[in-house]
Amino acid sequence: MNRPVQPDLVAIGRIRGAVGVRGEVRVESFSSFPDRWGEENGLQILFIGRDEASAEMVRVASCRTSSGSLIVHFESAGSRDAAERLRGAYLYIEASALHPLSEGEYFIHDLIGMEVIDAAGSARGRVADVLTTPANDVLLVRDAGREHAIPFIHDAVELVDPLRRMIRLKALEGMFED
Amino acid sequence: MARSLKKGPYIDAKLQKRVDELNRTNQKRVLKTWARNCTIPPEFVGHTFAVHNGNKFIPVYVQEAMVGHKLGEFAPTRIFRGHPGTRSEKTAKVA
Repeated sequence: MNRPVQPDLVAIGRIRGAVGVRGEVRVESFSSFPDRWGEENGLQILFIGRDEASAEMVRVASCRTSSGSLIVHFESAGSRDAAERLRGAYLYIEASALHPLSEGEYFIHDLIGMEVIDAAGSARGRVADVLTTPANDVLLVRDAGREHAIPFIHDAVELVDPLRRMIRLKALEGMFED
Repeated sequence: MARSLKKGPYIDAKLQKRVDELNRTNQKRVLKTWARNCTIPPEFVGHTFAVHNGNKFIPVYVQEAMVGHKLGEFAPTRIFRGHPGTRSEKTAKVA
């Protein structure tokens, strides 16, 4: 069913392939919240499509995990053939339904593009990407062709201001020596 | 095969010296290193190391749970950049 006005959508997963003969699909989750897919969260309506613009609303019939894989069944997909056609499609939710964040936690898509100001007040560029490493998250800050890796830690980050789209850094010696 | 207990963990002597100096003067700074094979001793906790991953230096903030592991374990050499142009529900947290 097409909606006349497309809502603001955020991806939470991608369909990797069909499972079984009843129309179930295997989903790769993009969400940082494993409980996002639990039944208690009432995940009943999703948007599915190759991109945000063409996404259509679907109803989730069931959602389970099997051998570490996330298996989802949509009401509109009743056979394996129907499930196969969904391979590669993204799953979206409305931006208003995003998981609430704890203190000091930010959505990566919100951080990207923020201006980075050092302790002296000089602009150091904008966040181009955020790396998730086993130790801590890392901001990749790009400025005039140069890229700096800034640790997203209390020792380095003074303030993240989502309203002014700005990150103020602390003075940590050696942070920009690369 | 595990390293002999008689020898103890391998800790890069130059890096250990630089950390000892920071601990002695109670300073904090990012220490650039190529010593990915250096085991993390308890003295490294609370310091930030810029560990080379073969391409760039990845900042690694050492916490207690990382003691006994190698620095290189926390600076991956291959990085999956995600799905370009797709806003997702992934988060980053200030450690």
